[in-house]
Amino acid sequence: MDQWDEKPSAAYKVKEFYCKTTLQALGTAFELVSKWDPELQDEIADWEEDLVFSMGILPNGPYMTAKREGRRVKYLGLGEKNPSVSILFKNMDSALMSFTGQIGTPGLAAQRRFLVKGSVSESIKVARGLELVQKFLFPSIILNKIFKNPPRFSPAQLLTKAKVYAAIGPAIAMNYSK
Amino acid sequence: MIPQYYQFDCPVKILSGHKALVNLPYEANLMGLEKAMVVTDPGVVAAGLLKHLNAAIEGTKFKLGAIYDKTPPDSSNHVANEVAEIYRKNKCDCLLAIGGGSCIDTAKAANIVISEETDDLMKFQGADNLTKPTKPLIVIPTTAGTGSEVTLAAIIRNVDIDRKMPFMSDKLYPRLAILDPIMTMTMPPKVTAATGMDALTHAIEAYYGLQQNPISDALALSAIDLIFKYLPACTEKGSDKEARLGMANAALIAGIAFSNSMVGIVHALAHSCGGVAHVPHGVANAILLPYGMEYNLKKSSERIAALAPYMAIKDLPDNVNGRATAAIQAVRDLNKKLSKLSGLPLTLADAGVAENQLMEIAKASVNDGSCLYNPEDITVKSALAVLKKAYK
Repeated sequence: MDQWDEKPSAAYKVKEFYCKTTLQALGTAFELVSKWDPELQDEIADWEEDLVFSMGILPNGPYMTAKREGRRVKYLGLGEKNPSVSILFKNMDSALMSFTGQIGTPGLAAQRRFLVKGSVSESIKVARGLELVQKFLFPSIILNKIFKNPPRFSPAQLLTKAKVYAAIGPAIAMNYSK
Repeated sequence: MIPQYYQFDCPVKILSGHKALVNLPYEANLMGLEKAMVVTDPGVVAAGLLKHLNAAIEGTKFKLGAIYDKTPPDSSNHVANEVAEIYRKNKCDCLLAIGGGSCIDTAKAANIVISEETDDLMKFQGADNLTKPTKPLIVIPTTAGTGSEVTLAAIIRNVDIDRKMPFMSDKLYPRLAILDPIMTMTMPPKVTAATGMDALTHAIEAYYGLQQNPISDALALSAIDLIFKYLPACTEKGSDKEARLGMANAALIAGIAFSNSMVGIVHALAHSCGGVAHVPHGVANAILLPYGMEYNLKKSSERIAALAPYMAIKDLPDNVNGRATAAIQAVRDLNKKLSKLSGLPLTLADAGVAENQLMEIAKASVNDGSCLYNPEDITVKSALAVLKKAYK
């Protein structure tokens, strides 16, 4: 090969699209779950006031940004919007491992597949919040694989999970332009 | 079990042994260094250890450009700024840390301030946040515990919010570590015991942590073997050169192990015990280690059992559970032996923690990065339960 083709391949574009959509879904799910789940609300109450956090993929994104508002999270949209804490995957494939439920936060940390910018303790809190969101997004078969202990659901949380499944599609559509 | 993926790194050149220190000028010359900024503490000065340094560099081109000898036990961002200012003013070309973990971590933090040309160290907390090449750092440990001479990490207190902050970057590795027993001979028995138990905690948590890998495993087991062999000996008789060198190596080896596989619940709790109740890090680790091992027993019994043959246990049980229990008991027995020899506290109450501080410690612990690498999940409730067990 004389020259390296710098154009992204179709496979790369598909991966990028999947990651972008998943980040939108995560941001939206954070908003929804924080509206309904008291466990996540208690967690958020311990975050730094008005914390803005982003999650994204190095080196060029995509990223999504969200913000603490009281005991809830507001999804601000795609892109990095002046976050004080960022959770950054080192590459697209590492993000895909997480977004397809192959690996959880402890596994990602053990394999050094992401890094954080900003306060480490706030990042840990955000990561814990993200795990709580995942609890309402993924089916048990995946949760049992990616969590250290299989998560337990109260009847109210099972109802919340059903509500999240019902609301997530339209909510993503509503957030699409953000 | 081979991990699906792991990374391993240790770019530090190591000189270990009797009269190792005398090779400092030669090594500095190889690195093109001529003017060092020494970072040390009042204890090192009072023990007369700088005279060994002066003797080693006498008549050579390697000079001391400045000496900062006021490093406190819990160093801070302000101290790092002060050291950086002196470094710049004296146009030094490298940092030379002589002391325990606090001196070494201060030198690393000052290195960030100098290299990033900043006065806001805290902007660089966390992992992989340094952007510029750092200055060469040479380390001569005077304790045998932290392993900071071979790690990519520094823990520094942010005085503005009174909390310890981690800094991790490949750029923080020292270039050279010199282990010379003459530099650890004056360490008092209690400090010897506490720092030695810190090293044991590094090795044990590195071995059963989620980031373990075959290389860190081998190092961790080797460190545990050396610690059980030499820690009681050099706590009892500080002038035992072989035991001192054995412990210096054990701490260094455990340092390489945990730098690559991280630590877990014991460190998460110990960091918070230090932050909330000012318990020395090694003391907190010593007290909490058997309880941390018990906490992880369900998920890591085979890994904990595999430690037993390296712990000088006379009659090894032949089943996994028996060996795991024996390993935990061996740590308890070592603590008791060291307590008799040095007065090392055996409970958090004896270490000065007030019972009403336990909840604050538990709450702070769950936000410690070490929790991620612990095999068992850690919640405020479970952290509090461990603390209560270790309290009296």
